[in-house]
Amino acid sequence: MQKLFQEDFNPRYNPSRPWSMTQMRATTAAYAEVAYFGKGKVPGSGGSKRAISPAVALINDQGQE
Amino acid sequence: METVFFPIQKAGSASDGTEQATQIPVDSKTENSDLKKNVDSIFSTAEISDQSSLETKILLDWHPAGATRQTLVGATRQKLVEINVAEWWPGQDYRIPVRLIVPLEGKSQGFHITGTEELESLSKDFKPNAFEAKLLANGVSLVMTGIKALNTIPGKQALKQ
Repeated sequence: MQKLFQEDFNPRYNPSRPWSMTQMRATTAAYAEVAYFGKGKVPGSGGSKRAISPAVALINDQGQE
Repeated sequence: METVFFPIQKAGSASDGTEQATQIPVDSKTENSDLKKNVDSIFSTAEISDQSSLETKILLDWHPAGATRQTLVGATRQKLVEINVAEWWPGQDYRIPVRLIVPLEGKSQGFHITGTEELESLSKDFKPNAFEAKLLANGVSLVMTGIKALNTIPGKQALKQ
């Protein structure tokens, strides 16, 4: 994957992409539990800005604040 | 709202001899196909929000956790699932555990999401600290998942290729 990334710097192959994808999909998994999770603010925290930044962007895009 | 990426593009040299960079906004209307090739479709919000593709496997169904005999502070209901993040390469799913933690009663409004490198810790019931207990007491849930380099996750090394 690193080799593909180095070819044209396509972020799709950046090693950090799985991290943000994981958080975004976990958000989807939480909202799938409709009896337990209502819509509201979604703060995020963590040691990796590369993981949390795209996740925040997506959550914002989806109007989930 | 649409996410707009700002790739850095070199734009010649400044008067002092140093190279300057300009930021060019790129969105779905951008005609520069080379830029689009690099920034488009990195994340598909439609696919990410598709609950039907989660292929959720319940590892531990909803159960009460965290209460002590003395107090119900921090008492929660928790569920451990494994979800499919994506088909990372053809035929290779990237699956990861997610622990859902909600107040003992009622439906939460919003949640705090975070990740841990210690995937094994997700298999144990989560004990909220004082701050997290305060969140739960105010109807804010917790979502914990695993954030770890692919080549360090047992059984997932092949995903890094």
